[in-house]
Amino acid sequence: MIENIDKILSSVSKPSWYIGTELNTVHKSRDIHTRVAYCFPDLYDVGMSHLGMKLLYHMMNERDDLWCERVFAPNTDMEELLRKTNTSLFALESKDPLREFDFVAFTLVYELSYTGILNMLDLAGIPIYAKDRTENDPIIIAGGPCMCNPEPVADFFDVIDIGEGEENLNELFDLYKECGKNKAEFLEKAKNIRGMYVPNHGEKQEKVTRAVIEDLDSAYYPDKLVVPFAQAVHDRISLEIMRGCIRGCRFCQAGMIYRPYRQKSVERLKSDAVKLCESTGYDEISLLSLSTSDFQKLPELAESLREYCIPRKISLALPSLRIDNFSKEISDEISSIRKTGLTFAPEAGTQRLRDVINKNITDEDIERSCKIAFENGASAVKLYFMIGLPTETDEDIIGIAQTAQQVVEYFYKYATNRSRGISVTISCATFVPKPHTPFQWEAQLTLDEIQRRQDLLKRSITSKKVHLKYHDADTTVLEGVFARGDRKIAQLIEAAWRLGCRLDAWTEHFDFSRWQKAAEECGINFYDYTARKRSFDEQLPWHFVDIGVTKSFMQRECEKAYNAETTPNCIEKCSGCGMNKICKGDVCP
Amino acid sequence: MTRIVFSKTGYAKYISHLDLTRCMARMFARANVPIWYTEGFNPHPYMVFSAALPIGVYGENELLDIKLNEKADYKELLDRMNKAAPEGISFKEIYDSDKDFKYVEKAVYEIKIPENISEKFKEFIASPEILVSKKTKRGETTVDLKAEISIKESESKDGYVIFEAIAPCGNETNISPTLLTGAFSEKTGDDTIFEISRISFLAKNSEIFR
Repeated sequence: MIENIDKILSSVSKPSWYIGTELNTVHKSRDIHTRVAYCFPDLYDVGMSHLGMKLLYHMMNERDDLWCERVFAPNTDMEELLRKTNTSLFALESKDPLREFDFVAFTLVYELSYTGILNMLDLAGIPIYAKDRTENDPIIIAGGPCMCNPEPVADFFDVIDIGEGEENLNELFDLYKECGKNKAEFLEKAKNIRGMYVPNHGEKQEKVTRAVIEDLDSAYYPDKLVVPFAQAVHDRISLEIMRGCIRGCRFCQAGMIYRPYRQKSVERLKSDAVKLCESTGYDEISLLSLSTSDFQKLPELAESLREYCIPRKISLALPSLRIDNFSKEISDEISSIRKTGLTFAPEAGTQRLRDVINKNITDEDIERSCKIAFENGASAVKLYFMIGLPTETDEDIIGIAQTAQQVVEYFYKYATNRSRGISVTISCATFVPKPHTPFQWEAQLTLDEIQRRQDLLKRSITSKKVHLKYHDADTTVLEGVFARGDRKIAQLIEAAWRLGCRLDAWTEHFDFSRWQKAAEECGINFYDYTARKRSFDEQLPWHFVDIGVTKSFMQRECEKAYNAETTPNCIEKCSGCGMNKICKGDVCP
Repeated sequence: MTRIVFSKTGYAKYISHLDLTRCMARMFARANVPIWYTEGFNPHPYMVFSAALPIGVYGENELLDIKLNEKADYKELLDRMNKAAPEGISFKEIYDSDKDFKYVEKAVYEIKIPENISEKFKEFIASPEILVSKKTKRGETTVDLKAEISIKESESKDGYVIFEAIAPCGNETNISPTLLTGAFSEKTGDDTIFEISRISFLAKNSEIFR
């Protein structure tokens, strides 16, 4: 096997993606009780950028009875060589074929990686459907944010973990030991663990309640990270400063499914940061959260980290800043460490539509933030917007172009060094209604309508200083299908994969015509899933998943959206989303 | 200049030169080496490597020059660096040197060939000329490996015949022995992976450069 792998590695384009000897990788003895092959269904450089996988990799390996190894989707040249030489997909650390593992686990972070699941199982010689697997096959499990609607891929998995893996994974592995590796018994009993959904064994569960960490500050966080040799997309220390978001933007799935809002202490963060710097040697720390500037002790944290970072020439990045509370203080912190790019997300082009989506920022907020940024020497701004939000009119689209133009004007009004010029980039995505959000019942734009609105936006931009980037419309449609899909979607994924769909998140591999052909084969109409507005009474495919945020809250929020009524954030006032009912303690701010 | 001698073996042979640079910078940070940073807008640790190793070739005595901000006990430094090193990278020696890498002319390689194909390989390298095309910055050129690489059988052990090859490895010309083994595989259709190691560098007069 090893000799064979050496031969393969000598001919692939990025051999260091497959060697498994990166710094801080874990190597244990093969005779350990439980072996887990932890898969990311996309390429190495993307997977190695994902914090969740790194975190759980080290957490699982804390156990003496378990060895967790990594597996990534092979690139096309690697896949070709594996198939040509009849070599099974192997786990990186041991180079052992996946079939020999107790568990093959997948992290599902975005919907377009779904064909990767099938391709990886197939490359490992494991039947793709749970119903076709036997007692001797590994147990195939999945987790990650996409699993808040598990139905599109439920046929492929034995167990799906809904919620935060740090909270319930150890319980699952304890149970596996207790059951003496008896798969049937294990699957039946796994249903009793909070957050575990067993979709293809015995009776269907009526309700699966998301696993939630109540005390994030004392929860597991790794003191080391695997440091890739080849550059990853995000090649730095990610320091998660909080989980959840107080804002309640109505389109935002992350803002709902990661509730409640939990901050870590400055002391814990500083101590984790120092340990991670010492164990990795990285020269950059990036603070990770849904909205960095909502971290209440941000100036204190930045000061504390700066003390450590500056003498060591480590830079500190603060992504996900919000426009409404982007203060002078924060801006100082950024520029004093190292200049970082400036990115804001107004999401919608008019105040009315921003109120509809509950993005509580005003034109004054934009002006104030731009003033601070430009006075501090910024000369490039990136603005995130969406088209196709509920109730959107052409006026809202034109408003996007006007907002960008306004930013250009603020530059000439406030910049200290006007000769550097200004570049404003509009990054425009199309709204995809997501499960467990107040807009989960809404209709998504059709391809023609996306095209029309994109053209309108393009025509509305008159300045050469404003640049426009779109998210691909075809991919948006598919994302919409997967996001609100039901069990029938499994066949679609299978058909598309058999037609050769792979690595669909990559534009060079994505082929929409194959997906259309697959849909035709399965008798599926994409627009039935995306363009159809659901009624509040319809039973949605994810109705049995209790994410913590209640249906009545979401319905209330949706109705308020139609009246362009905003909801205060969690710190200002509790809006009764239901989170405090599934948490035992008093976790909300 | 502080010169570091290191080896790059095992799976580390698959690490590209660019990735190695990053890997070393992080190692210096972990080992707390008082390395000198370049000045300017984006300071980075100052490092100069001997000629890049081709991907897939082991290095036994690779060279890396750095500058230190303060005097250090090299023995103790070596120990710290080895503790911080990733698998496959091992530090062997640290010393002061002012000999610039531009004086390197050639490199010595060992090529390990399984006994069962060694005769075929000997026949191959005995051909009057071995023409291959080589990509350079100025486009593709044809090189006669026979004229550029001097190769001889050095010993047999454990079912392998070891050949010693000396190839140009300077600023002007740099010819990798993987071109030779690649040409052999192409000609014979044999897909054996040859183990190639770079053993040392030679200066103008064929003296070992260190």
